[in-house]
Amino acid sequence: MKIWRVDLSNHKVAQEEVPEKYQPLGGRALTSQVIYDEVDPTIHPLSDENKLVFAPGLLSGTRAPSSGRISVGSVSPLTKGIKESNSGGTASQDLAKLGVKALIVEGSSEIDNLVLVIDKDGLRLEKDESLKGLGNYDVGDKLRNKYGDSVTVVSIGPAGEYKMTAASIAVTDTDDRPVRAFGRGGLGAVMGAKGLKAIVINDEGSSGVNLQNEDAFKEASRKFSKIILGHPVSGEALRTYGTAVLINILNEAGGLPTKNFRTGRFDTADKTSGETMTETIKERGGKPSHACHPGCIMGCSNVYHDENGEYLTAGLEYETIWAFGAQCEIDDLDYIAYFDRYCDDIGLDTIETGVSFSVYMETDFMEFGDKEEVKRIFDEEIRSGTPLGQIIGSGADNIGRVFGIDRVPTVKGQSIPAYDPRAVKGVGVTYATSTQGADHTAGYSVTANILKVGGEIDPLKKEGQVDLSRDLQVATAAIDTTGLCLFVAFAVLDNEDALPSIVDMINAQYGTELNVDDVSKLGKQILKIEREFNEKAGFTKAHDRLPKFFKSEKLPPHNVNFDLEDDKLDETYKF
Amino acid sequence: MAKVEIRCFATLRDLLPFEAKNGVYKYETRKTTIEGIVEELSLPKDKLHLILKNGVRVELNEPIKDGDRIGLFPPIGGG
Ligand code: SF4
Repeated sequence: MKIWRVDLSNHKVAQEEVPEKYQPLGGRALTSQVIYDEVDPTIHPLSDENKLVFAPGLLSGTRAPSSGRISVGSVSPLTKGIKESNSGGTASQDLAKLGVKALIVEGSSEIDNLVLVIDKDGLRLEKDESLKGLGNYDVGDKLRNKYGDSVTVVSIGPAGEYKMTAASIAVTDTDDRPVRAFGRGGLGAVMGAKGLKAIVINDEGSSGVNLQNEDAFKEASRKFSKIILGHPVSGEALRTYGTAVLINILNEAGGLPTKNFRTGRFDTADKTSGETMTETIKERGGKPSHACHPGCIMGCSNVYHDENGEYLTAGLEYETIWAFGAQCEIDDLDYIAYFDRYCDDIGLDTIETGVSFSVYMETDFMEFGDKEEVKRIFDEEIRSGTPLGQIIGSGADNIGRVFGIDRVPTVKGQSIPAYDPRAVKGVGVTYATSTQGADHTAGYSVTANILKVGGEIDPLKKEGQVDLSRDLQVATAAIDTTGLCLFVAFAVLDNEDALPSIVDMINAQYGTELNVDDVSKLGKQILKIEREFNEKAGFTKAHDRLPKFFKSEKLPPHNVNFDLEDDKLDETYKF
Repeated sequence: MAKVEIRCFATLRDLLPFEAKNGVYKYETRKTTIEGIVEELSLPKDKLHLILKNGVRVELNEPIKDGDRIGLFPPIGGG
């Protein structure tokens, strides 16, 4: 494998040998290490000194189940700290098969609308003015016309071109739709600032991934598949109702943030639930289950049709439904699906954008629940980049600042997602302390707090939450290195044979002799360098805190506040 | 007699009595525990992974009283 590098400042491309210290790394371990090694933490994220590092996971491109996740690393314009954003879709497998250990995009071009083409012959830069201002759906159509039907397209929409700080980078899925995304952290703006509109990946004629010990790999991978399929969540529930099944459980548990984190229950939550969504999808001939890349055996994704039975969007997720739903007091699934489609097309993170709207609803300009106005703002303001559109697309923190609103649910500049930290305290610890800003995936304590997976810890009490979050943050960093979808964690947490079989797969592929302890060492090492990077960027303990209102305001129905002491939070990163 | 609200989710939804709407069934019972209710409504105990009483996770033998809201879930996940 090689490291492929493109310098946009002078339009140079190169393929480099992988330095020895990068050999055992992949995914997040590699992206964070390269950012740590090559980028000055004090730069402006939109300057030409920032980089985008794409790295497939260690197991990507093999037949290991659900192993097609890819990481991108950078300095985030939203948090101003180190960022790893993770996506499904077909990019990871394609890059791995082409022998790309990492793709480093650096510098910035004076001309915009560049397309980076990657295939078996290497990489080249082309210019395509006709892509200017296009949404991700049209970009994909045009590029597939030009480069072939089976290419993967990684692209930014207008939001990235406008350098909105909630801009995402889209990745096409198995049906060539731009519905998977490097969502969080505004990395679409970094790509836009570099003048790069799209990356086209064509794995035709690639040599594929080399396995040192094929038989051992097959055996380990078969064992791992069995474990995943044998777990009631990863083997069944995710496929049946998608992630949106969480709406009702969080609502029941009183932890579904509603009306910008005012209560933990949304009266009409069921209208937006996984159960309702699945029924609607079936009635209209969509797909209740869908895999975002070939070889995913959990299939949590879906395809959602509109009232006329026409395709509207895909990959409608719990967090998206929550962000535009309960958080904004909107209980209309068709509108939410439209906003999801719009975010995918224009290239915006659904979580950040939904929370942005909810903060805007705190002003005199808009009421909670006004779905027509949300739609109007998407259609008329964000699409064309008007000043209001630019503000809404730049995240909740910015909106609070511009309009003088102090009820802003963010940590390190990034919006808190769909689990109230007062009623799911373990995830509150993750929001506060993660190197990534508020990010549920960084240490998904919802497992033991709410779902009774990987143990049971009372979500309303503070005991045990720091340890829970720390363990999960370490494990997650390691899983984000393998290319496995994080949802394998449901099985990994409950079945002690799962982790050894992941290690066996890696050993069989690379001829290494890693053991289970090395996995947690790797996780810790990743968190350490990310944290060190952030410290150099100016982050202190004071940044590892939730907004004050979570402490001072009690959340109905349980009437709980976030009561973990600051010094307890500071213990999260003691390891 | 206690008036209770039984809320079944995901695959358990279809197992509630016919009069239930969107997985919510309100009725009066002489039973005094969640287990009693589950038996009375013939719900499959082995499928009940999460049991919540008024938003708090409890065990099957949890006592009930008038006005309780009981949520029943099979194993689910997402994120
Ligand atoms: S479980 Fe869902 S997100 Fe994960 S790889 Fe499969 S389809 Fe993609």
